[in-house]
Amino acid sequence: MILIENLTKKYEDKEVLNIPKLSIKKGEKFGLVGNNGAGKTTLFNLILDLVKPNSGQVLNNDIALNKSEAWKKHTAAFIDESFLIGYLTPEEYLYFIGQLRGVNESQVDSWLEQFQVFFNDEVLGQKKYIRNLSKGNQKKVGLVSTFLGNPDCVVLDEPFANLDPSSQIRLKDIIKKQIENHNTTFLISSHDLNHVTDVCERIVLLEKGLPIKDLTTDSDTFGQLEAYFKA
Amino acid sequence: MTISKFWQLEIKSFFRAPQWEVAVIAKIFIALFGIYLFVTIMAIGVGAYYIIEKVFPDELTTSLINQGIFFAFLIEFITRYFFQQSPSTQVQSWILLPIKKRIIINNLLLRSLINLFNFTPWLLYFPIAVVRVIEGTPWTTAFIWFAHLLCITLILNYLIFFINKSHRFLISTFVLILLGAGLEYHTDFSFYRNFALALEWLEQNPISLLLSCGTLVLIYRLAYHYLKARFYLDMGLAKKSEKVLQLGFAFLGGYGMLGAFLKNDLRLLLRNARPRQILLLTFFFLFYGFLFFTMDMYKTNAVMLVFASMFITGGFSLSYGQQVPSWDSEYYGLLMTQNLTYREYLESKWWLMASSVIITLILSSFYLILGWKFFLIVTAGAIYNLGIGSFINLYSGAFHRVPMKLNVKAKAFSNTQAFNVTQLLFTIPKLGLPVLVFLIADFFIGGYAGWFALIIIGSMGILTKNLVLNHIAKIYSSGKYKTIEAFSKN
Repeated sequence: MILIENLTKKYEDKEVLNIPKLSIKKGEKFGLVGNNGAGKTTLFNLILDLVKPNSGQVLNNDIALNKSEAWKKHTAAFIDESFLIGYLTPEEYLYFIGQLRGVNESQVDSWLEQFQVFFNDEVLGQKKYIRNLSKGNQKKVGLVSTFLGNPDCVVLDEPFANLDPSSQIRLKDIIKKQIENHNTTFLISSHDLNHVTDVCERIVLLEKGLPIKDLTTDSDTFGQLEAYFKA
Repeated sequence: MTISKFWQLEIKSFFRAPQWEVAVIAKIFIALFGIYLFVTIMAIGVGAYYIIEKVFPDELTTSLINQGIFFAFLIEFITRYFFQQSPSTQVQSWILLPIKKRIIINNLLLRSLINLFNFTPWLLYFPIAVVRVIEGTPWTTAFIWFAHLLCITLILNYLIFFINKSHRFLISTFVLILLGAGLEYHTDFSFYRNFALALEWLEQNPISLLLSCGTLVLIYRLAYHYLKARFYLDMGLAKKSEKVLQLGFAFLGGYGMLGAFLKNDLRLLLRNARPRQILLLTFFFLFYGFLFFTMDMYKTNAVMLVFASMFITGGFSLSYGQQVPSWDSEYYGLLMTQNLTYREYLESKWWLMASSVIITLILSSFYLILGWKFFLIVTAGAIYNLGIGSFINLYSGAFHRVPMKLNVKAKAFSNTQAFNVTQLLFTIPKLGLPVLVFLIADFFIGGYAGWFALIIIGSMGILTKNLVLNHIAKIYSSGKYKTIEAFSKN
């Protein structure tokens, strides 16, 4: 699904990311961990063609990002609040995203029913603009929007941050269900080792822009990661 | 923590802002413009007395000036309502620091004095007072007269604190103005005449100064207590909760992606403070023609008429188009990862600008009362704006990479966000090209040829729309990463 080759990114001569090779299979649940400044968001921004690499390239479904924009059809992402349109209501926002992905308004309405518990009656039908929702509820709108139209590849930066404990658990269930039903490829970064080992089958650990560990999740993974971060 | 510390922070926030170098240049230009305005207003102040004396030799000059000042205050009050910013939003970060509330609030109230509106008495009324002394009024009387006017200006400055952003207030003011106008028209009672009489009485009674100054002190105290009582995050400092403005744009549903974007852009315009200012500006531009079409000085000047024809229907296109990617800067990352191309994005922007030209053209049909020639001028300008102007505006937008906070009003005279040197350079083709086209046709053929030349090249532009948009899309596309980076510094 995603193939990264010799990818580097520098900011003013300081290399912030250097990935010789990384291949993510279709339907893989891929987790990214690392301390602040390790390059997680930079990597996601490169995968989404939001920043220009200094060398190397990213292929999404065999499409080179710098050659064609066709990858946007099957990819969705939520990185931060700049992926929300503040002056729309959650409904309007989801209809808009739906329209871009070929899902009409009534389809969006019936599709949204499955998220009722996750939204906890605080998001839909509130007659509020997204900019007036709490941080947590804003995040829920953004996260849910990425599943709209069932894209093949979903990129989520820190999806669990800012959510209350119940919502974190519900989000994990939603992600798992999405993977089961649609074989979605997930790229998730997180500081929460518990959640990330629970959801992802493969975890890459970044340190100062370099992938230093590539683990297949098993019962030891959590301990291994904890040992690394303790040191 | 003293007042001077606040100023130091203010200075830091200026120099550490992204693109502060641009801001410096912008400030210089704004300062130059300010000086120009300063001189003009001074000239009006000095000249007013003599002009009025000459035009109305039979009436008392001072009385007429006083009547005029009534309207000046009315206009000042309405403009203040729209442009004077509530400063309370800037203090959130202070509230927890060990600074006395008294200092923060007094600083807020004093800082609000540094505002263009509060300089108008010095520019406008002070020269008049001087001229009055020269013309024989005792200097004490002129001084008292000026002191009263100064007090009224400052009272207005603090009055705005109480009514900030209340639409109910705005509506009731307009109703009152209408009622007042009705009273003026149908009865003998006259607000502005009574205002003038009151001013005359006040200047004859020095003791009345106590009244004005007392009111000023009182309103300052009231503003102080008003702010102090609301100095909590969930009250005065909280963002006002907004009601969702729901408008049916259902008819746009049938136009697919284009309709979806237009729908969003209309919501953007109506639901955010910055774009609403643009709408207001567009409305004023619509009446710009009266200034040019009715004054002999301009009526006969072809270049001025070309300018007028550009502005009447092009006001929106000019002010919106040159900042095209900035309007979407808050969620640019989203747009760049969605399944849409720059071409589609620009097309929807073009349609929005085109609709504004067509709507303003229809609205401007009232210029027909001045004669069909003036409507021809407006129409020629509209077609040029559709086919050429809109593209130049979109093109210049590609170089405007300044993030914008949509729901924050632009402050008059400190609006460096919308300002940028490239945009200033683009004004040359924006205004020069139509003048050039007009003058060439006018020189070689004469008659109405200049106007028809604008119509012809405008129509050609409309016909080649797809070609031009493709080209502009390429330019936007090549600047993509730069734009994303600039916008992420929002």
